[in-house]
Amino acid sequence: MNLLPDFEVRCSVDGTPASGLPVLVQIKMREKNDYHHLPGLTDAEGKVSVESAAVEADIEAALNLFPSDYGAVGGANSAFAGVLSVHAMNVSEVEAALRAYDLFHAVSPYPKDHRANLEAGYRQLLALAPRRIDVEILSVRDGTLASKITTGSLAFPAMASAPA
Amino acid sequence: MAFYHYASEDVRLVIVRSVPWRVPNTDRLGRPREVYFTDSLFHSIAAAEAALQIGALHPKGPHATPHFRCEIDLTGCTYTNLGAVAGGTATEYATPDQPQVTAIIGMNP
Repeated sequence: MNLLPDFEVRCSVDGTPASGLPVLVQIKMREKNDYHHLPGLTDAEGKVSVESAAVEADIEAALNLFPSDYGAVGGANSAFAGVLSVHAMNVSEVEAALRAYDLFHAVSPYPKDHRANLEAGYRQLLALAPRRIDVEILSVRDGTLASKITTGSLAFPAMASAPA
Repeated sequence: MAFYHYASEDVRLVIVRSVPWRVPNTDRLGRPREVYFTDSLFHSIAAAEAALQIGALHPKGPHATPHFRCEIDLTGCTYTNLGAVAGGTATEYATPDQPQVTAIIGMNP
C-alpha cells in the first residue's frame, strides 16, 4: 500500500497545454522540513505523472542525506500534514535546483535525467517570457494517507539572467 | 553555550567542500531548508540517536546514521528553541541559516 497518492498534473498557459515545464511537489510536514519532489517535465499535453514510489524515493534520499532534519511520513509517528501542493517552478527555483544538484549529486542519488530536465525546463521557461502558468490536478488514484491535495498556480517573476 | 549538528557521512563530504565550512540550508532540489541542532554533546552514535530520535531510531524506521558531530558557530544566525525532542531527551533548535562548522568529529558506535 502506498503512503501517498499517485496523480497527474497538467500545466497550461493562456488555456493552452504547456510542455517541457518542471513541476515541484511539496509534501507538507507538521514537524521539521517539508519534503520536495520533482516528477520531471510536462509532456506535449502539458501533463506529468506524480508516482508515489518516486516521491517516496526522494523522501528516503532526503532523510538519508540529512538524518537530523526531517520527520516521518507514514507510521504511528508520522509528521505528514496531509497536504501536498504542486506548482510550476519559476526561473529562480530552477536555478536553485541546478545549484543544489551540483552541490549534492556526488553524495545523493538523483534520477539519471535530472540535470538535463532542469536545463531543458529552464530553457522552456525563458522561451515563455513572463506568463502565468496554471496548474491542475487531473486525477488521484490511491489516496490512503493524503487528506487533501492542493493545486497551485504561479505567475513567475520577470526573467532572470541565465546562470553563469 | 556550544551547539552541535549531527551529520551523515554524505553531508560531511559536502560541508568540507565549502569555504568556510557550513551546513547547507537548501534541500536536494534547492528549496530552503532549516538546519536542526542541539546543545547536547554526544560521543557515541547510539547516544545521539536515542536523545535526538534520528538514524536507527528515527520515527520512520532506521535511516542513515549520524556518524559525525559538527560543532557549529551561530554567529549571524537566527534560531529557534524547539524544546525537548519527542521520545528523546535532547533539546532541539532550528535555524534557516547556514551555521559555520568549526570542527567535525567522528563518533564512536
